[in-house]
Amino acid sequence: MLCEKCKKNEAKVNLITVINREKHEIWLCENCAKDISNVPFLSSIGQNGELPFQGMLTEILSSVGSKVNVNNTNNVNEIVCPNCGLTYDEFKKTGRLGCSDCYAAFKVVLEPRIKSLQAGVKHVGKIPHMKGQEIIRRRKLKDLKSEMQQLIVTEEYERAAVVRDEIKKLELYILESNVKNKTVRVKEENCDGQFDS
Amino acid sequence: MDSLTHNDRKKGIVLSSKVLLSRNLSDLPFPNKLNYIKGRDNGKNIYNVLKNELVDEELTLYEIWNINEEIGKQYLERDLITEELMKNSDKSSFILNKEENVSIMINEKDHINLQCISQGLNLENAFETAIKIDDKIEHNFDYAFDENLGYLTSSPENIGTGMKAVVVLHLPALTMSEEIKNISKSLSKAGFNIRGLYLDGAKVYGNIYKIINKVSLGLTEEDIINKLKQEVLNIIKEENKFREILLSKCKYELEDKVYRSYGILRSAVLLDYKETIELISNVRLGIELSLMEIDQNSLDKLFMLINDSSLQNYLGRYLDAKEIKFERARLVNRVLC
Repeated sequence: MLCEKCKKNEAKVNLITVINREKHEIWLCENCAKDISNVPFLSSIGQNGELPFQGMLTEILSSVGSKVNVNNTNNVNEIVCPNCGLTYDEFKKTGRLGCSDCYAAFKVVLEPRIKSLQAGVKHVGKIPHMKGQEIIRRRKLKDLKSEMQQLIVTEEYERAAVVRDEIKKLELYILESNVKNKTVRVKEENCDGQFDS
Repeated sequence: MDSLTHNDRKKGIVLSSKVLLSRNLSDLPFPNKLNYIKGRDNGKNIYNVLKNELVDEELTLYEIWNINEEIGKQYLERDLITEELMKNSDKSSFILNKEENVSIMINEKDHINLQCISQGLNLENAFETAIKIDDKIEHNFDYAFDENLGYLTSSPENIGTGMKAVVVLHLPALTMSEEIKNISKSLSKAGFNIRGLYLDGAKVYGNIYKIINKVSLGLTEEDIINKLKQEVLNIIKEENKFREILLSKCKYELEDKVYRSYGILRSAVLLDYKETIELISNVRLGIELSLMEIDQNSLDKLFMLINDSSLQNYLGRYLDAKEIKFERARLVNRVLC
């Protein structure tokens, strides 16, 4: 495919912009992609001088990754919780979050605040019984996986196989309990519907 | 330990201890983003579960949108519910037990704000009750919980344990000597807040304070309670020290203040609320210093009974400002006779 701008070189970059919910897609070659200066992460590449394509791609990827952070620290005002729709402005006014997902959405704002207010960043108190078991199982799974990696590195394959079986068993258990939870929830929702009607 | 709490109760510096737990349900937005239909269901669902689990407590559900505002105010003035709960009147409710030492607010700041109260310095007891009820709720509902952040609360200041431990203290000597300012500073450094229970604007009256933990993440519930208890014991020591100084330096002035207050309470015909609180505090100091013999419990009850809503509720009718003062004086007279 040829670059849609210069129509000379082969297109290597697929540039997608979303402005006011309108999606524009364009295929560009390396040179044309570099020339586009109104795209923030691309213009920063231009400033860094000539970069080989590989470097440019990583630059794009890393700046896209960090762009979220840049956005959050510079434009915290624009954060909106995807679950409940709470805006940063609302949070600033009331000091209240709107749902449990807000903790993830407003992480950049909350993290330093929590650090300065609290005695630590890790919960050490009571854990709900039901959820607690899930957490313990997940922790065990993580431990087992790293143990298996270790055993493979040291070429103790027989022991690694034992651990692998254990992991499988645990994963199956977690999967099953998740499915069970989901069916319970679906049932509850059905009940709700009946009451409503 | 028993002798300590008993002693403290006798000395009466500590009025009560409270443990508050904030919890949210995982599948609903927090109360400020919750619509009233789901909000109302919340109260009913939790009540229905707890009613069966805690039959002995004889729980009652009060739905704010259904009850008379005056009834709500009465519980508000007794610190069993908060103004915030009253504000969310279209979806908030609260559950009280028979003895009114357990209050569960639904859709206040969080879906569930559980409060357990015990007399004297007895945080362990309050905590035990709170945990018992918390376990029952957890058994039936899925809490919003994060491995690292603990219980997720609507205000990020409460995450982690979601617990506030409160001790209510009577500190007249520290107030008179203005030493309370230093106490407040050192408490703040240790991670605790001290606030007046009775406030006229920003000014504290009645010499009654509550001390609350600020930190809720990074410490266990037991740590928080033990730290708070240590602080409270230190404050009691300080208060007693300043009481000794008062007694040795201005004995007559102190006695005059106590007996004069008692005299006014006994014989006044009209009593203002703020004035009454201050007078009761003086008489209470007299009892604590063994200057006079009155049952402290009935005096403490007066704190609760003399507010406007309680008086109106007690008499079962609306009272205008003058009537309230008159009825207040009558009630105080009767209790102190």
